[in-house]
Amino acid sequence: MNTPHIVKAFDLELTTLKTNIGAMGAFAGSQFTDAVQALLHGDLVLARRVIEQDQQVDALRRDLSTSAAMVIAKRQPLAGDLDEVLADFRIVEDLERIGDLAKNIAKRAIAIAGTQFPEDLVQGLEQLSELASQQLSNALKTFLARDAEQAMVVRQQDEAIDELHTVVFRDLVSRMGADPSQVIGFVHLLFCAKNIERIGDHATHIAEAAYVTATGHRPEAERRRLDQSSSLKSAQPEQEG
Amino acid sequence: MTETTSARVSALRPAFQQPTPPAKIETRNLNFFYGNSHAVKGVNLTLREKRVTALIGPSGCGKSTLLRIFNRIYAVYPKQRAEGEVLLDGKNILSKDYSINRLRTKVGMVFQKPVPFPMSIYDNVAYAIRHYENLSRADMDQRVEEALRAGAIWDEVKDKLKQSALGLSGGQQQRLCIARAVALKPEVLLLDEPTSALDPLSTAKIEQLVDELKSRYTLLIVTHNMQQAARVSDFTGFMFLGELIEYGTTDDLFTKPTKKQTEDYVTGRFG
Repeated sequence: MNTPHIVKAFDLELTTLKTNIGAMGAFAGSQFTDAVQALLHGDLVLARRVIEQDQQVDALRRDLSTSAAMVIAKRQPLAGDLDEVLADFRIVEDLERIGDLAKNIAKRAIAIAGTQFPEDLVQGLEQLSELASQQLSNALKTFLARDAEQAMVVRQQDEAIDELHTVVFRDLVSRMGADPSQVIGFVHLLFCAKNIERIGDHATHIAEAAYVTATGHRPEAERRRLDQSSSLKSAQPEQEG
Repeated sequence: MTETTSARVSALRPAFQQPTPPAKIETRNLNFFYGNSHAVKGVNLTLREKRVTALIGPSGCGKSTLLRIFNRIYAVYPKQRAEGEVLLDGKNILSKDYSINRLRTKVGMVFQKPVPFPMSIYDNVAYAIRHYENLSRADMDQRVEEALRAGAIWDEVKDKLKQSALGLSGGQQQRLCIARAVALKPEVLLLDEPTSALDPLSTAKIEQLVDELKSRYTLLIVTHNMQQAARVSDFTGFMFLGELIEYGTTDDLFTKPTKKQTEDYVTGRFG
C-alpha cells in the first residue's frame, strides 16, 4: 500500500479507476470464455450475446479512458502516480482489444455452427483458451495487488500459451490436408486459435503494465516469443530423381 | 457472464453521470463599478449548493471583485457599487432590505493572506461567535472545538489554545481563518486566493479541507492557479476583462472548453 496523498480525493480517483478497470477486465474475460463456449458447443444464443455486449466493452473503454485523462488534467500526477495512470490507459486499451477478439470468435462460432469437429481438436482449443483465460485473470490480479513478483511469473506463462498455440496450429493445418471438405471450418478455428493466443498476449501486456506500476521500471529481459505459427514453412516437394 | 459481473458493469456506467445540485447563489445581469471603471460586466453565474465553484482568469479580470460582491464587502468603500441581482436562496442580497449582519452570518470569507487576530487561538474563533451569540462557557468550548476540527487544525492546536495565533505557521493560520469563518455556521464560504501565500504541503492541506467542507457548505474559490481550480472545484468560470466568458463543469472546462479564449487561457497561450 502506498502512502496516502494529503488530498484524499486523489487516492479515491486512482482507486476507483483501478477498481473499475478490474470490473472491465472481469467483463472482458467473461466475454472471452463465453465466446469460446459458443464456438466449441455451437451455442448461437451465447455467440449473439457476446457480439451484442461488445458495445459495453467499448463504452467502458471510453468511460475509463476519459476518467484516466481527467486524473491527468486535474491532478497532474508525477513519478509513480504518472506510471500508474499511463498503465491504466494501456490496460483499458488491451481489455478493449480482448473484447474485440472475443467478438470475432463469436462471429466465427455462428459461421461454423453445426459443424462437428474431432474431440481431441476441441480439447486442444479448450486447453488453449483455459490457459489464456487464466493468464488474463492472473494478470489482472497482479495489477490490482501491485504485485511485481507475480507479474513476472504471469509474464513468463505466456510461453506456454505460445507453445500450445503452435501445436494447435500445426494440428489444424495437418487436418486440412487430410480432410479438404472441412477446410473452411478448420480455417475459422485457425483464426480463433490465433485470437486466443493474442488474448494471451494482451493479458501479458497487462502483467507487464502491472510490473511497471509496482516498480517504476520496465521488465529488464525481453520476453521470449515461442509462437512459431507465423514462421512455419510449407512442406518441400520431393526432388525428382 | 456471471450475474455478479453483469451487475458490476451495469453499476459502472451511471457513475459517470452525476445529477446537478440546486442553485445556492444566482447572479442576474450583475455589474460592478469602481467609480467610473466598469469591473464586472453583465455576469450571470450560478453557484450550486454544496459544490465548489472556481473562478479563474488573468489578473484584473474581475474575479476577486465578483467574489467580494457576494458578501457586500465592497459596501465599506465609497464610490463602489453593484447593479443587477445576486439571489441567495432566491432573495436578492443587494437589496437594501437584506440585513448585512444576516448576510455575513450566511456568507463567510477567507482572504488571500491569513489574517489572524492578535489574540489567542481560542479567542480567534470565539471572538466571531461572541459577536453574534451569547453562549455558556461549555457551549463555547464545544463550538470552538467543532470549528477547529472543521478547519482541520484541532489536532495541531488543541494543547495550546491559549497561545497567540500569531505563533502559528502560515498554513496553520489560514486553516485557523477557515475555522473562524465556519464557526459562524455559514452556508456559503468565499475563498479569495486562499493558498497563494502558502507552501505546497500547506496548499494540499487546504485543498483537502475544501474537499471536506463541501459536504456542508457551498464554496466559491478565486485562484490564479489553474491547476488548483482543476483539482478542487466541481464547476469553473473563466473571466476576462470583467466578463464571464465561459462557465461549466470543471471536467468540461479544462478538457473540452467551448470558447477559444478559454482554451487559449487554460493551455497557456495568453493571460
